[in-house]
Amino acid sequence: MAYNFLLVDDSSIVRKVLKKNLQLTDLEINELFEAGNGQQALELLKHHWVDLIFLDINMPVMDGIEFMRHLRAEQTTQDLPVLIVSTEGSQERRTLLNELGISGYQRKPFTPEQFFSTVVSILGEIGK
Amino acid sequence: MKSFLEAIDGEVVRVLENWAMMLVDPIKWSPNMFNPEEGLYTGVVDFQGIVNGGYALLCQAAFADSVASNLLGSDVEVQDRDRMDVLRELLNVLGGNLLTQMYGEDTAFKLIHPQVVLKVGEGAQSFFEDASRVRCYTGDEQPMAVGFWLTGLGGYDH
Repeated sequence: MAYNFLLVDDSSIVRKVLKKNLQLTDLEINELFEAGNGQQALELLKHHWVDLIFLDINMPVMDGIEFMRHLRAEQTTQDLPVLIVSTEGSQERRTLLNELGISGYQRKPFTPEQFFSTVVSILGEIGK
Repeated sequence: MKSFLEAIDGEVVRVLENWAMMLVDPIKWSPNMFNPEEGLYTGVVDFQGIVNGGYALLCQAAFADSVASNLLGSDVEVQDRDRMDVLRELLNVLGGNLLTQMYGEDTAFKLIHPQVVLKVGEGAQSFFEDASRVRCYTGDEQPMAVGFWLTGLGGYDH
């Protein structure tokens, strides 16, 4: 199965690092979409289907929390899996994000092995 | 509770070694540790939470290039905007993890978007007024310094 991924982060370096880490996995990648904030990501999702979203929390224009609220409010995107990739790891934030239905939380910094394990675990759940 | 300096040491080494894949060694602070003929990248991230303050990073292009190359691959040509971007991200990661080390995962902080500027003809001495709150390292043999300050008790309502 070939996957479509969406990388949402205001840092182009982080998007490149995520892309590199995804390419290091054995996963077959069909399309890798990129967005610099939540608003751009929502716009992109109007035209493209993705299998997994990698989402930062702190971003200008529309942050990750606001993006999650919009995502879950739309029937077509309410079940899309989302992996948070962030330096923020407070329990309070995690609880809020869990309530918004995230699939996982990858704290930065991470090793390629940790990243691979998290992604495969989420994609495995999707495939069940 | 750990001291800020102990926590900084632990996080800088962990992040640079594990994430940026660098060889890291602590060195002593000296205003002359940077090449005066090259520009100095200065980055600051402010934070708000139960305490407010800031975290800063100083380095030169060779250090930023090394981080970028290790993260992206040596075949990638590093542009100046990549250096700024990689240093902003490094500040985010270092600052966020330092606060977690100091105050635990149950404490929410807001990191204000980090700012990085390139200063030319300005020494490092003026950047850190209080050298007792500065830690210095080499990453892949390139010098860098980090420092922090607290501005008071915060009232960040998450």
